[in-house]
Amino acid sequence: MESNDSEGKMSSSVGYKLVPWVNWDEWNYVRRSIFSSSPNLILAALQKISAWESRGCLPIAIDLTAVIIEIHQKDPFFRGVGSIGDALASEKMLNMLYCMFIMRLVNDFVEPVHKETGRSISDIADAIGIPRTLVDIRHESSHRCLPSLKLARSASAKALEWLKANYWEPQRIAVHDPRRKVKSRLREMILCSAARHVSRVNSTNPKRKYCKRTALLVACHKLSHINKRLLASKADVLTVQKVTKRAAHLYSLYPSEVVSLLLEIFLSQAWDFSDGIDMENSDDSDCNIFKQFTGSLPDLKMLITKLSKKKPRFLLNMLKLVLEMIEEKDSRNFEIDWNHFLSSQNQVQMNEVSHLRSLLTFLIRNLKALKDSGQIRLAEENQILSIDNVAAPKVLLSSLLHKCLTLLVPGDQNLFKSALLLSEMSGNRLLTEELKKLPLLAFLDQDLDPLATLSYNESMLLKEEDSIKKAEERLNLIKLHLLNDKNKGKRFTNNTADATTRWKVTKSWVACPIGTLPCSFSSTVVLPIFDFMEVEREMDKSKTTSDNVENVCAAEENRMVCDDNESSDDSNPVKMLKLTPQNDDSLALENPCPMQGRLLIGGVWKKVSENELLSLDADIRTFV
Amino acid sequence: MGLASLPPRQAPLVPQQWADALDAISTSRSPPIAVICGPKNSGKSTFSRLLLNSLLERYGIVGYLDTDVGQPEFFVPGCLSLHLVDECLPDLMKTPMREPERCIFSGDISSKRDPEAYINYIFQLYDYFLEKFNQSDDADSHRKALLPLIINTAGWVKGTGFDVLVELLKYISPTHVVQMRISVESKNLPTGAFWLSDKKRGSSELIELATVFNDSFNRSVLMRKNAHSMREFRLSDYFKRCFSSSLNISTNKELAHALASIPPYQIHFSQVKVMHLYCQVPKHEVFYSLNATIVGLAASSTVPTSSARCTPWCVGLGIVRGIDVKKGMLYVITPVSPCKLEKVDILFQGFIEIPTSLLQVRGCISPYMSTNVLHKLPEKDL
Repeated sequence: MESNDSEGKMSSSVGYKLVPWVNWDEWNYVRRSIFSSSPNLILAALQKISAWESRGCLPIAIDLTAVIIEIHQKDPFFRGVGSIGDALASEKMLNMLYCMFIMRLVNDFVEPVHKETGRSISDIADAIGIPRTLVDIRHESSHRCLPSLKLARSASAKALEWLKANYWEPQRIAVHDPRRKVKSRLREMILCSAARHVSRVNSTNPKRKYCKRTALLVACHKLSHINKRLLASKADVLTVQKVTKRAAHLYSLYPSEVVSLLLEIFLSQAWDFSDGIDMENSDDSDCNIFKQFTGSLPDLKMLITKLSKKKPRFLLNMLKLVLEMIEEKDSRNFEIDWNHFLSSQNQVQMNEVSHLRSLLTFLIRNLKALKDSGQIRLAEENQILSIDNVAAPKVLLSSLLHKCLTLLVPGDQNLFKSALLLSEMSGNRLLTEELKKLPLLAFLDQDLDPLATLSYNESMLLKEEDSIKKAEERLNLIKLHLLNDKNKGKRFTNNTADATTRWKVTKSWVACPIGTLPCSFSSTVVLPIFDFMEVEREMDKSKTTSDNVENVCAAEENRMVCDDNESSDDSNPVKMLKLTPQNDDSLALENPCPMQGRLLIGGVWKKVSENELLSLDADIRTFV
Repeated sequence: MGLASLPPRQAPLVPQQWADALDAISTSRSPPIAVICGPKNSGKSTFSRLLLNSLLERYGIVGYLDTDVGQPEFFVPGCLSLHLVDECLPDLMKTPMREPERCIFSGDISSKRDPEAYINYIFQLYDYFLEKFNQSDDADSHRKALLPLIINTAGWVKGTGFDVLVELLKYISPTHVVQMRISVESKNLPTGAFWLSDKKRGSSELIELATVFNDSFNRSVLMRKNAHSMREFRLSDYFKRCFSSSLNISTNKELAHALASIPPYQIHFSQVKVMHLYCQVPKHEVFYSLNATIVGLAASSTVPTSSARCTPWCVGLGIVRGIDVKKGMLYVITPVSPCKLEKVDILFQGFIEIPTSLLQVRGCISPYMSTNVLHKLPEKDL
């Protein structure tokens, strides 16, 4: 496939290189922050770069950018209002800093070539576009005396421009390409399958159309005409095998992009089938693109099936992403429930979740097929390390089942089916039997359907209160028992308590690349998230000021994302927004202690009122 | 510095000059303390290995203080280590990895970044050796067998390295100083007792030896390139020890797979302290800095009491293979034995780069290995 040829003119490496950032989002965050006008963001970027530096493989261009930005932050001439830290008043010192920076810049980029080829410094600098002033300043300041501060300042600005033009911009383009490319490829593939689909339907039964799909079909029909012209014969020639092959290749190059984009397409299609609800929040330009080009659900599903046969890991990745999304959306729905009931937005959310749930069942059926054909193995809880079969991806059924069950809501046939399938796969007959009884419970709970409960609310509440009281009494009894047991046990266990070790070998572990964490249910890669540090810092009360800085950063980043005009290139606003899910809350800056009145719910710090806290407290007591 | 991967250097026929020197040192009255110095590739390692073998014949156990963090003799790069060797080296071209008696994590592959700390590390290891194995207190001189010590140095000839060497020689005042000399005079150390000012008369015996290899000047470029792969090889070799030999890991690929699959040790954030040796990292960026890097494992409780210098001893290296911030857990892979590991409460981070071969294996590529990385300048006219 031609996909990696187009970068021929970039001097990016073909193979893998060690980098200090965990993904390009992190790199892009630093790029946007360091060139922003906000002192807080700049500080955050500089701090991130210092973390990168400690890893030892920092590109020189980033190092130098950090240096010059830091100097600029110290120079009253460049400093913006609200800059952090003290300004450096001594012009002599500033001048020396600038000259040192310029010397390093010229030397770092020119010297290696100079040593290799023997060409003159100015010659090489000219060839790579380093302004002559910089070369002169390097020469003057190392051999004679320092130039004027004024000159050094303007030269430093030129140097920064050079760094931007020769590192940051080309690199940004180089890494943004894949996602775009993947998108266009996927679009093309789905379009082809859609075209086929339409022609098939048309030829067999030209007049019969499903009422629900009419709109889509018309669109597809139109498209197929347009694209037949566009793609000439390409669309017709593309067989299913070819599409799959291409998709598989694409996946091997850009796994995470393919998975997330496919899911996006799926969801955007799900929209079309839901009953004419307007697209809200259509800030997502990707979605719109796909909306125009949607194929049909069966085609997409077929692609998923075929692709997972070729690349079993793809299925696991997809599964993981779907589960995560359901979880995330569920928690969001729960939150909405508190505020306004059944708004249209809520409805949309619910729809999305139900589509995701149906997709989950489909994926798990595929998983079963792959397991039966031996392409995915089952992992044991306490597996012994062996080297030969690490290549085949594994799945830990019990954890996956657990995950499904936690997401199960009453009356959800899809997830129930998934769970049943999983327990059948595990071969645990007892479990399957138990699971089969579950729907009965769900049936009993059916009355709890949000719409119906409105009228019952009061009586229900009374009942609940009653049962809670009873539960509390029982809990207290258990507590008493436990306390007694503990006191008895203490005499005996005292000696063994010392034997507990601090360094333990992890009990269950699924193979995953170094630098990542294992997914709880399969050998899918989980990228680490390090920004939950708030938990740590909450304990460290003295650090509250830095929390505030963080909050300001989050807010400013949010603003920056909004008025980031380059977003036509920076094609992924969704992702950027994802970086700061707690934005609305973090705007409340006046709070001197930002953690106060917050609880970590579903990974997000949320404001919790006193009453809510009390009710939570009660819940906790009942569930202990 | 014989490496398996080097162009074949025939087994050294020990020249008469060398044989005499070996003889002189190993037959000296008291257990000798010998420092071997000289430029890179002058045969320091080879001589010290020969000396080790010849001292072993007489003493049974010989101390070996390895101060070359870039190309260590017995242990991993980034560590200064003191070894007690009790068996002859059968192959002078290749030394097996040995568990050190004591070791300090310097976290770098040269002494240049922080020479002062570096010298202190050497002194601390030396003091430890003196106290334990070479001091004849009146009280127990009868019981304690005194051991000889060989100190191998890196190729320090000029600048910071030279200063470090002078400090080292001044402090230790060894019984023997063996200086290797190569044919290119300008690359040699000064002759005589260069570490002493004129007024004093040193008690050290000075031995100057000509290198047996004439091609060292040409080879130096090659060596530099090799040093990097040699360090990666050493580190891979070290982490291979996490696995029983029955697993039969021979290739880097197999090792990378094995490292990805092995259940790591887990430890809670609160039970270890992360210390950066060479740079400042803001507290909230520590995990960004730590993930998927090599760290030195040290125990604060093991700080030597008798010495003025108090860097915690390092028990070995580990790979921070993952960090779970939600659970507050660090996941570390290390071959260090569980009983030694139990005391570890400090993770030192330096600049020991993790071998990239361990990060990129099909189906198991670390996120820190990235494609599309711009690493060259736009070469318009170059």
